[in-house]
Amino acid sequence: MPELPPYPGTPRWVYVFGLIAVAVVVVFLLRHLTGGGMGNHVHG
Amino acid sequence: MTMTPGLHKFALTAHVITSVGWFGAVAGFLVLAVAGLMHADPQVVRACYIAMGLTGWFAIVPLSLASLLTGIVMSLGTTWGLFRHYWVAVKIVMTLPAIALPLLHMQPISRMAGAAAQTTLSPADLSALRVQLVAYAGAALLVLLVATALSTSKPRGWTPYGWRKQHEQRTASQL
Repeated sequence: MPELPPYPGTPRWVYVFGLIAVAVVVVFLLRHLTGGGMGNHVHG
Repeated sequence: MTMTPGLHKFALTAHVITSVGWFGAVAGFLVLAVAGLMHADPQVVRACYIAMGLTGWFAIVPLSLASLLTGIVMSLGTTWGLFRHYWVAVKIVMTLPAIALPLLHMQPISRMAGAAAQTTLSPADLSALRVQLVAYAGAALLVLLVATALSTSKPRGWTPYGWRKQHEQRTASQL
């Protein structure tokens, strides 16, 4: 089997999306952990 | 397994209809949430939250699940695949929480609708929840906007898995 050509790498826009996603998750978790959830409901 | 052209058109139509329908349902939900928070007339406020409960259960939840299902069918039935290209993978990663969070929060939304149906809500009643409904609906709309932009622009970028699969398929077709 011919050798696999070198992987061109992850595009920059994916890193930008990833950073934004991490920031959103952190904000979301902080709000829920500090009691800022939806009317103090319990999941499930 | 690649779909036949006819099946591809049907699946694509189904995916577009459910996805755009989901977007529209969330937009309507946002309008109701803002009106419920801001409107002075208690009858309008009551109607808004009752309508939000109905919209959530009978439009947003089924359309979001249908959009996910048809999207997966489209991915697996075409050469795009599910995890070969970053734009498809990012869309899935984005839309899964956009589906899961409303499902998890339908209980407080139903509670809000139930409270609105039984009593006249004052501006202070459940104010934190009412604000958060606006925030979550706005965030969901933004996620769906970005997902739509990804679908139409299809930015380039193979995942490592997709890169390997593409090379394997090219090699297999040459043998």
